[in-house]
Amino acid sequence: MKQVVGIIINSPNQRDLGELVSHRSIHTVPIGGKYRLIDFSLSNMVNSGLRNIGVIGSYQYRSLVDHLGAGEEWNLSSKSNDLAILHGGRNVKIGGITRINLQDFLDNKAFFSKISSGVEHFVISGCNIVYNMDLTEVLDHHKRKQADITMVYKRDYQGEILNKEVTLKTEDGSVQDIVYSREKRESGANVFIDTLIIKKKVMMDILEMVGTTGSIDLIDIIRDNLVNLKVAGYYMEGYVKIINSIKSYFDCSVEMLEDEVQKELFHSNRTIYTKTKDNHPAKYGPHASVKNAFVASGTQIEGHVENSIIFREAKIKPGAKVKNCIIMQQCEIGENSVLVNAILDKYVVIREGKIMVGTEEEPLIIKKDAVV
Amino acid sequence: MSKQKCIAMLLAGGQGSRLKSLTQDNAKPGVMFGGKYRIIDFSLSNCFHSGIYTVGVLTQYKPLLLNRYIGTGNAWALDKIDQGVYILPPYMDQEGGNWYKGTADAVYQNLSFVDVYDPEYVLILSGDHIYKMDYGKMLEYAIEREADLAVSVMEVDWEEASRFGITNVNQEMKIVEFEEKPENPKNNMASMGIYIFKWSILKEALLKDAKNPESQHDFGKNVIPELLAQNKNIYAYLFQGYWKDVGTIDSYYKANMDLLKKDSELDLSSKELRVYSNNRNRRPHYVGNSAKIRNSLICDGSLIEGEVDNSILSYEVTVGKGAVVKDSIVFSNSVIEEGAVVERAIVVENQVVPKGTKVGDANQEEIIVLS
Repeated sequence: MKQVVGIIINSPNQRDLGELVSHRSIHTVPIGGKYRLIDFSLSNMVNSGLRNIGVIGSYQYRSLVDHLGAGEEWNLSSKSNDLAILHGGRNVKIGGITRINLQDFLDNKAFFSKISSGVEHFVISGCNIVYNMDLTEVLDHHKRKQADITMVYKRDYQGEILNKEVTLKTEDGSVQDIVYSREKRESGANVFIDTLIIKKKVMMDILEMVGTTGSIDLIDIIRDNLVNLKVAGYYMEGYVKIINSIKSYFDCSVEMLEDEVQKELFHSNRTIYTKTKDNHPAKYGPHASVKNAFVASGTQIEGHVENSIIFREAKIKPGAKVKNCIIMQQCEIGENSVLVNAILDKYVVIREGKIMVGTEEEPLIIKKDAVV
Repeated sequence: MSKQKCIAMLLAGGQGSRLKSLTQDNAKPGVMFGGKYRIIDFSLSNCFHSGIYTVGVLTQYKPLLLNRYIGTGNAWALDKIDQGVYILPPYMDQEGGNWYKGTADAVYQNLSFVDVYDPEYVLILSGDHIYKMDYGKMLEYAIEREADLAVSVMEVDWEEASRFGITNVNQEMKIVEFEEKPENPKNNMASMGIYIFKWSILKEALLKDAKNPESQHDFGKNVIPELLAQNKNIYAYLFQGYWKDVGTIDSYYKANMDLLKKDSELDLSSKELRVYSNNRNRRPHYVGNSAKIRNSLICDGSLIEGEVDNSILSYEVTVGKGAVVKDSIVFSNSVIEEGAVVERAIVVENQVVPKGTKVGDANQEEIIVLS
């Protein structure tokens, strides 16, 4: 896959991740007990043999750089510059909503100008998509169809409507029309899932002329040039969820507890990599009771946990009851406290005997470092 | 190459035959411990925390798994420039070559490796001990006393003393006598098999020992008694804390079970001298609706739908519905099928305990090993 370069965009189209992105870039929102959102896109690229990947950052870089390092945990080598963290997010706060913001590409001229002449295609994907996908199949499809661009879509996408949701009208596997839906989704719609392959030459030409098009969204440009471009659609079969709101974050977390979803995301031959930690194995106390839960390493479980995701090094004290919750890294749930339908960001401490109940529709969110 | 104060030589060549089938395909230091760890993690992590970044690992018996596990040493942050973990198997030269004939011979055959670093001190370690220790403190101790050799010792139960090498010391902690497994021990200060030698002294002793046809080329049996006879400056360094030799199935099982005790002496959750490991990138473990887990350690990737009580489960272990794992240790990728029972047993890697069958026995003294 030397002829393919991967680009992970900064996906500024999160509608409402609220507190979860107030101090970190969306790439690094923790999910699934030990992962960060970007782990899925990055692992998909690595597992598909890509060895040159650029990650477009956003204006909050620290958590991203801290998480990725030089990419060793994803089997990327610093010696051969496999992973590059790129400028990004300059325009997040201004202008309309974009799906793939070309300004971020223009801001990284140095990266694109250094790409070797042997490279023929780019794989572009969002950083907030939870899926485990073999991109080599998409690339094969792209080549077979002799397409300029191949857009990946999901039919009957289960999830909240996306900001500037992109629906593809296809015929014989080629995209005839691109429609934005802002309010609701038609049943059977082919929803674009922020993953595409584009010929390098086509991409470079678009970047050349982007100043004259009046739009900086790659999807707008593709839509306006469907007559001149050969655009193929690729139907994705497996589980996919774009995390663009608290609701979709919570739903995705709950779905990870389902056997089928777990098998698709984590049991295949394609490992989802993340930064590992030298934690001891999860430790269960003599009075622990746990049902239907994802439990990470370094945790100490002495209370009751049900339908929940417990991140690394979290502590659930004796007598505590945790139900339908997402408890992030190093949280401490005090003795005899009760938590229902809540999302606890990192390092939250819940005091002894505290009772906090949210609803499934509107889970409680407790800010990082809070002591309540 | 910069000259180094102290480098470590880690003895990892023994077959560990008393661990029976646990070492069927794996050298003793490569055997799993405490779920996610391997025995060698403890010594390698200690080296890093002690600022000793050059470690020669002397391997001989079935080294492939261990070599792969150690890799570049980055898991223990030992992948430094000009330093790191080096696997040292026996090798050939113009005059031929030999298997390592004993612990001292293994180091003797690698004199040229040590000479490259030209250290002032050499730390000799065993790859089959479970403990957290700052060797730096022991090194300071040796330097302060201008010791030719410092031997790490600890107090053991009197009943057990005759299983160990026992050191008899004077008031300054200078060793005056060393008795290997004495029938009637004079005290209970046991050698832990951890030595810091002045390199000049050790080198001379190894060259002499190699020429002695009577010698078994063993540190405890030959080299140290010989240095005592030469009246060298040998001090005992008293270690306080948790330390276990896991050379037998029984001691291995007990040391694992120690981790499940409330307020275990060996605290794996503490950040102090944290035990590093070559971590596997697996999803968190999943606990199903019908699962019951009590007083246990569970690793990433596992899938628990049955009952787990007072047990240690490594990576990617499956416990089916209605299955029971009690007072047991299960290594990675093993499957305990629905309704199966594992009690007071060790199940090694990649095993299947079929539906409805039973391994181990609560009433039997001996620990059953399924391999």
